[in-house]
Amino acid sequence: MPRGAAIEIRDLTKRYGDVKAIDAVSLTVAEGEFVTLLGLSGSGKSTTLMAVAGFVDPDGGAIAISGSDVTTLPPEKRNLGVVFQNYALFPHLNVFDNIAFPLRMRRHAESEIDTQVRRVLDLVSLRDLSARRITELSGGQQQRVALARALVFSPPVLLMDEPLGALDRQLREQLQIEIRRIHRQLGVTVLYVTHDQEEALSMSDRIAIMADGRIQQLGTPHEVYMQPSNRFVAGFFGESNFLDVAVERAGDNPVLRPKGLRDITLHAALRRPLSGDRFLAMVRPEAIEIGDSRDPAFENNLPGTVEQQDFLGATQRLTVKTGAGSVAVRMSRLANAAALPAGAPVWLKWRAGETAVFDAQD
Amino acid sequence: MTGSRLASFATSATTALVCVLLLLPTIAVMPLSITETNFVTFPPRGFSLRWYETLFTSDAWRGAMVTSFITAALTTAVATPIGTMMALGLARLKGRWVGIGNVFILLPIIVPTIVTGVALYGLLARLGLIGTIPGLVLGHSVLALPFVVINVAAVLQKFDRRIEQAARSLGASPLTAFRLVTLPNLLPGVAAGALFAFLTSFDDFVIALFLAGIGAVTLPVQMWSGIRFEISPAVAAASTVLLFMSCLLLALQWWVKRR
Repeated sequence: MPRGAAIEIRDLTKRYGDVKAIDAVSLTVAEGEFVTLLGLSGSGKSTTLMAVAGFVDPDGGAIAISGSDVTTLPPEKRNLGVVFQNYALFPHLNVFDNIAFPLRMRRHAESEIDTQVRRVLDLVSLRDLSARRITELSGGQQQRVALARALVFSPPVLLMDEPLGALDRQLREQLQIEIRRIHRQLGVTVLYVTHDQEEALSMSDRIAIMADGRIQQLGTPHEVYMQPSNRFVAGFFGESNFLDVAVERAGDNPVLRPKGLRDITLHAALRRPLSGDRFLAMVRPEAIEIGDSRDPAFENNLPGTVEQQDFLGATQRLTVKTGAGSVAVRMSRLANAAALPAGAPVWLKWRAGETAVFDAQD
Repeated sequence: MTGSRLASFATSATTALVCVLLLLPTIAVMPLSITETNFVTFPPRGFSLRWYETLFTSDAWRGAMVTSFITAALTTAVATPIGTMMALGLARLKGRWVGIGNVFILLPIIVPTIVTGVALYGLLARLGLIGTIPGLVLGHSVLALPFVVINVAAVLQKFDRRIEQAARSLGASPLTAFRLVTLPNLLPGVAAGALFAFLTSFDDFVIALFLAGIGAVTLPVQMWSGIRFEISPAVAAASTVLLFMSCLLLALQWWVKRR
């Protein structure tokens, strides 16, 4: 099985009437990398994927695979595995013939087809179902057949459009693990589309967060989660606290002053230069610890009083009123929340590395 | 009997009555065909299949049946592929073109058949196709097209275009994808459309009356002459054959749809 091929998308644009479905999207996926396009519906993620597959004719820009331009190549000449949102299996063919389809298109010998189909059926753990009709399969099994069909001809690139969207949570998690395993095993390059942030975080090498037809941020799961480049990206991955701040000293380790607080400064680890005049500092609720006094071991200390407690099962949330606004804190279920009744004074503390800063206008 | 059971009984009884009223005149023609007499009587006298024999041996009747079958078969062969393509094209229309396209395709059903007949007569006379099977086939194809389009469009509506895209992504050219994936999935609709096309041609009287001339007399036209010049029980026998054919084709269509 050959290793994956690199995908290079440059300034890709697609208009539908006056609306730009994708607007100058550029993205490079390395050989064997797993990159996810994450966004809400209408963000342009599926349009981008379908342009790579060859089903969307771009108005501008170029797509190259393994260094050769495929922008005007019809889908059948691109040699890419595509897994569609609703699987798009052929209902008039059985499992074996569905999976054999791409090999028959490539005029392989029947004996070779038999070997290859059995190989991928093993890969997706469906060995005994080759004679089944598609309508007799469960959703999870259909998903596996779609995956097997997209992999059987050993394409260097696998494109997946919300492949787990129709499955229930438990099955989805199981298949996420399986897709990761297959990706590692085959070394195929994967471009994956989803609207599920947890799916993106757990599966991807890198994530491209899309909105309004543009890539908002491209980075590893850790980067996009802990150092979001704007409020939209921050809001995409669960709960976050935003504090209005002024930048007192720019540079690599900027000093921030929360609006409305005189004697408090905050510290952040910054990866890009700041510009503009209004800034937001962001910290995740689970990054904050609770203490009863200022703690010099943490770069950031903020005093407040407990406003409310919510029990959430695995975690509990504390809402703390501070001079810079309400701050949500997420603690383990095991933390002693009983000691923190409403009105209790507390100190919030967190590391500089857990603080992201961005222009409030973005 | 409770109120709702009474209502349900009344509904069933009414339905049965309407069915009998609708069917009775049609079925009444059947006993007429087995009479021994030279003229139509009711109730029939004796039992004889001589009028069926006439149907299959006399030049006029046998010729009409052969013409009807050939015309219907050729109409099916012409209307089915064209109608299927029209349905595929119609499915790709967007916005206000959908409504315009739909009305346009239904026109042959909306326009009174006699108007279509007059129009076709004018056109085909100029082309020298009156009294020929090709002329009849052209006329019947106009009538049959909407039925093919409707049947294929119905299946197409439930058809997921993404399986066509899947075929493309797996290496099939547009034509191969259509042949190996789209067409097999549209087949129930295409088959139903073909049966309707056959039936439309086989049953048609109005268009055929205009176009048959003396060279391409179909079974309904021959029956009409039979009634006009001699009220022969052969007409009843021909009606029975026609009825049987229609039932057979409808049953076939029902069977295709169920699969």
